[in-house]
Amino acid sequence: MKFSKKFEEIFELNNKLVTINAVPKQKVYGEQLIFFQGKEYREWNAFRSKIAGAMRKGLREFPIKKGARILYLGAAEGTTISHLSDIVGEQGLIVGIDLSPRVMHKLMFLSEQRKNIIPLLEDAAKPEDYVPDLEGMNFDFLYQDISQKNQAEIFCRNADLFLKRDGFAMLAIKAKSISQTLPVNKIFDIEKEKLKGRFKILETLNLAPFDKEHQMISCKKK
Amino acid sequence: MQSQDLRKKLMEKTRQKISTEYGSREHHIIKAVNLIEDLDETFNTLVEQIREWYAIHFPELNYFIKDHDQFLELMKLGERKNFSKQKIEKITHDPMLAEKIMQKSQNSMGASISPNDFKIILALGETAIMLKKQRKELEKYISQEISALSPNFAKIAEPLIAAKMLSIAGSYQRLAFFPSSSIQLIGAKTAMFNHLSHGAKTPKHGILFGHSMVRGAKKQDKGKVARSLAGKLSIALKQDFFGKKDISKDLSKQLNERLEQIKKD
Repeated sequence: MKFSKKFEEIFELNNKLVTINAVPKQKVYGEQLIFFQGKEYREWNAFRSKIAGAMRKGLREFPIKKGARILYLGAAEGTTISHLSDIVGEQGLIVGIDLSPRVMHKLMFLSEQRKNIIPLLEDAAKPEDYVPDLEGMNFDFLYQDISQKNQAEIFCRNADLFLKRDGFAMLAIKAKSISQTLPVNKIFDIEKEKLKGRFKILETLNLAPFDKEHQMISCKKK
Repeated sequence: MQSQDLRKKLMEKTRQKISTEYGSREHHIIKAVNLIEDLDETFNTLVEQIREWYAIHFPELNYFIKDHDQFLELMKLGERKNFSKQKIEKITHDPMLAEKIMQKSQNSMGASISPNDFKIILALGETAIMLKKQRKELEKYISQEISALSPNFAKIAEPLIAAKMLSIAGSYQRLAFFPSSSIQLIGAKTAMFNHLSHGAKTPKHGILFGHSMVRGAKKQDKGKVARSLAGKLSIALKQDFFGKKDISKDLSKQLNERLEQIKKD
């Protein structure tokens, strides 16, 4: 089997991206479990998870390691969060925020299994609502994957309130949620412009074929 | 606060929130509406198959009885030899049709059928009848619920259409805040995309196409009727969302006046 390290706690096993399973023998979304050299790895599906898609498209920097604190906007059922949970380990923490109660059911079950995840049923567009809950916590990494019209604005407001100085952030832009008529590249450019004041833009990646009309931007808070 | 204490506290809060937010009436209505469409499809698929199967024995029945409910009732009579004009007419209410089927039953091109075969075909028929019954119950449930949730809106939009609009909008609040132009076009997603991406003509109505007022209007008037209806619906929704007054009579009156005007033009 071919094995190499891609990033901290993220590996490539036979050309598949994998993370070490923090809850052995448990699958989260039907992913493949691979046993190798005494450890159990979970395949990180690039078609299901945008961060994995970005890595497959050549993401160069992903400075998240054990003990990191992550604020995840648009947690959904926890597909991507489960891998981040593998990565940050028991000392790390991921606060997962989603608006939909139905989807939150699954996230709650996941959180009961993985003690480094905190699920919140909140609207990421109204961060004032959960500021008191987070008790002044500062996060190392802000990740957002939300289908709303004002994606950049939500990203910036949450970064202002919760991301530490110099913190790493990634934004998955879904063009069709913003406009149905403007050309997709124009939409991406407009959203990116909105970030430039607060962030230093690091990388810009088109997520096709893993996700159509999606762009991932990685950046650092100034 | 320690990380794990904070986590316990926040998870409890999230549990409570899910419980409060997900139990509201609108969620039940949306789930019920999604099911009704599935039930219709399932019923049709099931009956098609049952028809084909019973047609091995009595193909003429499949050919002459187009209505599914009638067919299932007739099939309960069992083998061809059990059919009598009286029994058939009781179900079809059509003496000439009953006579024809009676003749065909005596002169059929079908094969004989064993009691064992017939037993299972009839059991499936019972399932289909039960499905239809459930669907009617579901429709009644949806009517009651949507009328309780949004009375003015349910009355003017007609309950099933109102519930479908709620399902498409995703939440009561979102639906209540829609402009009337959106209400007019709810359900016309494909047509809208064709218009935006391929320059096709703008759609004139979505789900509202099925509303009795739009159905009853002349082809050239349907768009105008849909627009007027959507206007009143948007008012009805906001009245329901923010208050408790019954304004359905006034809205109906205004609508009917407008309808008369449209017919004259």
